[in-house]
This record gives sequence, C-alpha cells and structure tokens, in this order.
Amino acid sequence: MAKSESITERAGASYRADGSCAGTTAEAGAPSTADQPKLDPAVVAALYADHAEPLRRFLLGLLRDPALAGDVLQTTFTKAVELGHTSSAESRKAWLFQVAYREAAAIRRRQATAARVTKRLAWSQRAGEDSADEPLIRFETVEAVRAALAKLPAKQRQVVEMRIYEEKTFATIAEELGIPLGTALARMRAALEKLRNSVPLRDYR
Amino acid sequence: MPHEKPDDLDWLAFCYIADELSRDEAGAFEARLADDQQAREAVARAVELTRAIAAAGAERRKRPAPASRAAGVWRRMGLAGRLGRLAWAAAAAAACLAAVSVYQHARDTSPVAGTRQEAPGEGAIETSGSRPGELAVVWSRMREELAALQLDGWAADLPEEDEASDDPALFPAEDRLLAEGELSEDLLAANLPPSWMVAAVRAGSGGPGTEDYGNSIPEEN
Repeated sequence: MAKSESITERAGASYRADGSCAGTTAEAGAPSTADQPKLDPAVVAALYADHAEPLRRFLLGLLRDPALAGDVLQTTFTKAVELGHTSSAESRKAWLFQVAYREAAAIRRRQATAARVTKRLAWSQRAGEDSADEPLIRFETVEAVRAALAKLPAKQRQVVEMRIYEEKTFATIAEELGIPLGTALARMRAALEKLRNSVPLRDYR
Repeated sequence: MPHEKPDDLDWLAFCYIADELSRDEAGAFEARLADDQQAREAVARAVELTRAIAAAGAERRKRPAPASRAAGVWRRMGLAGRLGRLAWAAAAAAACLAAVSVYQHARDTSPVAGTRQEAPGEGAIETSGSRPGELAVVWSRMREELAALQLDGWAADLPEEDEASDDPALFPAEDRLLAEGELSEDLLAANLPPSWMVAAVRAGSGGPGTEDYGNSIPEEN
C-alpha cells in the first residue's frame, strides 16, 4: 500500500499542525501532542469495531471505488494510532471522519479522479462483489430492504428499480415514464424515506 | 442550513452519491463534508441503503420465479442449439410412442368399442370405434400438450406434411368429412399424425405392412 505510506508520512505533520481538525485538544499552554501518550491499541481496536464500516461507506460515497476506500480506511486508522490521542474521546468519531475525508480528498486531487468518478456509476451495483473483509451490507439489511421494497407503491418501486437496477438517470426515467422530472424525484425520495425507516441501518449517532 | 430536516440531508446525500447533483452542487456538498459530521454520516447511510437495494435486486435476479426459470430453460436450449432441441424432440417422440402404447392398451382392454375410457396418467380418451379417429385424437392431444409446454421451435421440427401418413384407408371418417365438405384439406393435413406413429399403431395391431419378426427367429434345439 505505497500510497498509504506516502499519505501517512505527509499527513502526520499536517494533522498535527491543523488547528481546524475537529476534536483537537491542543490548546495554548497545553503540553505538546508529541508529549502525550498514544492511544492504547485496545482503544484503536474498539474505534475500528465501532466506526470502520460507516467510515468505509462514507469513503465509498466519496471515492466510488471499494479498493481505494479500503486503502484510505487503513490510512485513517494508521493515523488514529499515531495521532488519535490529539483528539478528545468525545469527538474521536468526528475526528476519524475528518481524517478520512481529507485523505480521500487528497487522493482525488492527486489522481484527478473527479471526472472519472462521475462516469463510474457501476460501483453502486457491485454489492455482490464485496470481498469478505469488506462487509458493507449486512444480510439482515438486505432482507429488510427486500421486504420493504415489496411493500412500496408500484409507481415508487418502479422508479427505484429503474434508478438503482437499470442505472437510469432521473431525467431518463421521467422521459420514459412520461412524467415530470419533479414527479420522478418525488417518487424516489418518498421511496427512500420509506425504505430507510423500515430498514435497520447502522447506528450513526 | 440551520433549518434543514434530516430527510433533506439524506436526500441530498443520495443525490450526491448517485451523481445527480450538478458540478457546483456536488462541489458545495463536498465542501460541507469537510466540517459537517451529520452530512458525512448521511453519505454513509445513503451508501448503505443504496447498496442494500442493489444487493436485494441482485439476489432477486439470482432467484428467478418458477415461470421465468422455465423460460430460462428454453433460453438455454436456444443457446445449446439444434443438438439440444433434437434431444428434446427425441424425448417428446418417446412420449408420443408411450401415448400410442397407452392408447393401444386401452383399446385392447376396452370391453366395448365406442365407450369412454381412462388411460393411465391421461384424461379420458373418447374412442369412436374408428381406430384412425382415435389415433387422430391421441395425436391432436399430444400436439396440444406439447404446445402448452411452450416448446418454441419444436413444432417446426415435427414431420412435415409430406412425412405424415397419407394412407386414405386409415382415415375413412376423414374421407367422408372431406367429401361432405365439413373438413378442409388444409385442416386435415395439419392434424394428420406422422407416418412413424401410424406405423407404430400398425405394428402393434398386426395390420398391413407389419413384420412378424418373432416368426423369423430360428427355434433352438
């Protein structure tokens, strides 16, 4: 994971010096972060257990690439080992997301992936291709979604299927169904709300 | 966005990951992600929900309904090409011969010709006292059942008109109907049993053209 090493090497100083990083405890008169003890490995492991999957999904939403998301996730927790002690325990989750966001943004800038990313819609369709170490979706979630989909009104389910399964844009869906774009969007939004309310999504509190 | 509802944020996050935002909107949302933890978590939720929907659809496609499973069989048959169709045709021919045997058995054991009989595994066969008529009934029923099985293309492999028996002596009833104008030539030709089925019936009944192979076997000393 060569890119992670380079990111880690460069980012170590930047995070330490970045006062805007949420949860930083560095204050005037406080001891230097270099003098503080690093996080206990057990604490990092607990952080990983609690936040790795939401972080991975967040990174997937940013990068649209499971492999890159996995790399940045590892980098994020490498930083947690090195610099996690600079954040307060209460804000550590936000700190992890912040680090992940910055790492992902750096990758996108470096690789100029933005243009490529927008063309790569298929990422959301490859749910069945996740490797065993990337359990993005739990079985019970899929089952709950399936049941909730079956209960949707036919018109809403149709838009969901055309958007997610057939990868059509809302403009195309509206055109094919002969409905205004706003109607297609409203159906999708209503469907997503119902699905979200009936599915045991992870606790993001 | 101080007055933004959680649903609004979830919808915005979905539009972002679905690439439904304009470049400016996407840029603004990404800038927001730098500091807004709720927005970050909305992205994670949107990814989870979208992928769960995709996974549910993928599993549904892997588990087709019974009807589409049958259609899949025929699609695979089409991919298998003519060899596969020939195999099915052979199986269907065997089924036809079995039907003929059933018909003959039913006929031979019928106490009175022209009564209604039940053949094993079949519905009632209405016999008319005319063997060609009975044969035509069996053949017609077999064709209907094959058609019901949606053997697309199979019918094209059935013996054509020129392969069907045209022995007028076997179909006196049809001759009469033709003469009286109650049956057209086309309709009759379309429903004639193939010559191999007629030959099978003949062989079973010892009719004309039947070879008595049993008599040709030399007796052992």
